[in-house]
Amino acid sequence: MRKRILHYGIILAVVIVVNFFIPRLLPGSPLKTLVGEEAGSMTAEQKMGVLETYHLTEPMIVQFAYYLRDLFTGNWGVSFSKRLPIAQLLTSAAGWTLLLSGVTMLFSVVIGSLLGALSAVRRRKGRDLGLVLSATVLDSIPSFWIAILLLCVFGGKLGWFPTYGAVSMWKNYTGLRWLADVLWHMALPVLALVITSLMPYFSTARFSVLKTLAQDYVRMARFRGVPERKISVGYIMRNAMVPVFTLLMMDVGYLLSGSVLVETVFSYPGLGVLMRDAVSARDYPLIQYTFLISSALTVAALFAADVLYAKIDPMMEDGHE
Amino acid sequence: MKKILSLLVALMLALSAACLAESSVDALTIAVTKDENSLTPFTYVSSTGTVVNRLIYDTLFIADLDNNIVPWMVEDDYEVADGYTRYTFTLLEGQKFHDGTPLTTADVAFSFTYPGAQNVSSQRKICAKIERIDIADDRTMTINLSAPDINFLRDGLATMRIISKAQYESVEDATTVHETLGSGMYRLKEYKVGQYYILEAVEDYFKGAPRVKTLNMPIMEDATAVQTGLLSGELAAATSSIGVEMLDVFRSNPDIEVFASAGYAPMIMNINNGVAPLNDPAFRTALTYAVDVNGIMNTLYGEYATVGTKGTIRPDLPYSVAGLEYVYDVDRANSILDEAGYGQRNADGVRLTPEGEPCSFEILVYSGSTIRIRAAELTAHQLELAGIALTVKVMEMDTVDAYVWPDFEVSKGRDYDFAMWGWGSSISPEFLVNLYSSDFSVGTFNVCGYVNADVDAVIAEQYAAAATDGELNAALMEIQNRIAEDPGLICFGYADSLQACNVGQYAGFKSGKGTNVINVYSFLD
Repeated sequence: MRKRILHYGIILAVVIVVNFFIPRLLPGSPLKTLVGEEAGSMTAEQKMGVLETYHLTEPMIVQFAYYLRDLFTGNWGVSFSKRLPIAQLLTSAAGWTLLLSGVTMLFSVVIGSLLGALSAVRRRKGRDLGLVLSATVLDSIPSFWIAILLLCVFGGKLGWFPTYGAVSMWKNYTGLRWLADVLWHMALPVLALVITSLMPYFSTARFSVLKTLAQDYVRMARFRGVPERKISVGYIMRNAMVPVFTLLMMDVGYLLSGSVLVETVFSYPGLGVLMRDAVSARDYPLIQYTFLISSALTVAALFAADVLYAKIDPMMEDGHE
Repeated sequence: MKKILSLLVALMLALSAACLAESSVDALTIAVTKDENSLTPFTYVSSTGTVVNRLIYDTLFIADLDNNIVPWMVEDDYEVADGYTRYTFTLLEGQKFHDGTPLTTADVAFSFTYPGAQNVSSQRKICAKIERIDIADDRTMTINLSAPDINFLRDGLATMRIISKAQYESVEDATTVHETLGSGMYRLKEYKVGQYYILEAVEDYFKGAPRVKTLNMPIMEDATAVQTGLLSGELAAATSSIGVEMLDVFRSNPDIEVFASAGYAPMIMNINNGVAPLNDPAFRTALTYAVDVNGIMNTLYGEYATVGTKGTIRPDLPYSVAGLEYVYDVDRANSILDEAGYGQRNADGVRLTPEGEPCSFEILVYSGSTIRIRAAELTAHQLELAGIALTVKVMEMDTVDAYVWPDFEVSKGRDYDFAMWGWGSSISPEFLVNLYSSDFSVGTFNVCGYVNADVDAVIAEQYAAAATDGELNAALMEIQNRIAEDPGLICFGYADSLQACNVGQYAGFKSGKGTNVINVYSFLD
């Protein structure tokens, strides 16, 4: 366990360092964001004055020291572009994104895995081929295109769903009415994301179930007359789901950053849009902390997966392959 | 009789529908295409913010729908004296901030000094022009400039937002203030980061109550979502324009009217005048003949654009020189290039410089602008006919900016061949000077690195010394004549701003020259 913690600690340290340098390697300058539209009319001295205020003229190593200090003291500062405390911005946006991505992931895992397992069980039959073909076609469609299509048809043309926002902004719903409103706004973004994120779970589950079906212990169980339901759930699915679980944990990072385009299309006030705005504004602090949270969450999820493997598959705890 | 009655009823219904659409409306939903923070004069970030901010904060003067500068907060008998250095005016009565405190000349004077000390203010250059402000009483004051400025009415008095002295006087950094307190026709009732603004009408506004009581403004950055919202009726209007290709779709909707207003933002092909062979005036002149500016603009915008000229500025501005239109003549381009020593070609048919280098270039374009990408592609195709190879390189906006205008400081040089570019507005006479002066403290927009001693002389001797409108116009016309002879860039032209509005929901939208439909005139009687 200690070794594991050390291993993930090193990864996290690398993430912290990389997060500082990546935004600064981007071409462009935050100056336009800092001074507004008239950046071109200012003298070089005035521009330097602005950059100095934000320590951007200091040597990189000094800026890095400021970054570490702010990171560990929890004083993450104010966004260059939004002029608001970063913690406040992240809290507000992360909630919506976690909800959107969490629901998406739940549907994707359940539907993708079930269809994958079904496809494996009916391998080389008509339904299997249909499933594989459908999953492949859906996977090749970009999520933003699906999102625009859903928006135009179900939002614009038919008017069944709202075309923007996470809630009805001009109504003060409460309780169940509010919840229903949130779900109504979430329906199209979730559908767009689920459609385009089924494939990895589908293919992993399919491959894994196929592999498990061929295992000796499954054949032996059938030979011993173990009931088919018990074989399916206890023997096949439990073992076949380990790779799906790994995939799921790796996708946790996607929870915060994976829905950028869909959030943009549906004007969903999530973290993806915040990240995109931060990058286009060269808002270094906001880029750093949004990406850091996303990366840290991925590392934490992988760590949790490592620990949980033992519960799912006791053989792994014993150090077996 | 029945027919007459039916006709009368139909007529009454139509009239009442028209009246309903014209009269006051409780709420309109208008998309804002960018999150502009708390919309104070120190926190909004782009031209979209300028549009919405103008509903909340007033300016002393304003551009009317014909783009003439007219008094807004002040009485009509204002005075400009001493060769455009003294501006005296009296505030109209009854003006107050949204918290109920009266607006006085002390607030106006403060508004013209405070931004000067702020790092983050687009208005500090206005403050820099002011030598002294004399306050006669609560309503009358004089602004004295340190040097004559014939454009101060437009670039200063019609631009500076009036803020509350009481709110800002003890604040060192204006960006830390998030309470939006203006004196305009709307007050900001609510702002949710990344989600929406709600603007509420100021019922006792000194020019009368706005006709729409509430403006619900969701932040929607995706163009398709905005268009879908407009077509479905969820949105009444948006701060952004629609593309020409969408015109028919919107026009087929009976509730929607598309307002076309003259645009003042030029689309320009920047040429890096500092690298060979683009530093050769003959080569640049040949380019102006090799590119079909009229044809490209017609392909891109149809009738909804004003084609640019060699004079760069809009041809309908009062100081524009006639007869400087681009002429598409590939044969002439080829003969100029041949005569200038670019006659040799390589195996691919690309011309060679006298030094034997192929005339192969890259043109940088913003990835977010499909219309500019198309313009660059068409240009590349046309230049091929003149033996010039152009590769279109599409990049994210800030990356292009970093190559063309590093740190937004023209004195830092440039690293590109061509760039499909644009400027926010060309309406100020200063625009030409900023674009073409090789003195980089004046030519702050000279991203092409244009150098022409004659142009510099006109700027220094005629433009800077102009004391009357006539002299100013003569100087600007002279600059255009010089840059037409020695082109530093190619100005494709000015696309009209096309905005779709749901007139079924509200028929009061008004547009004008270079004016967004979300303007004060759209909401006042």
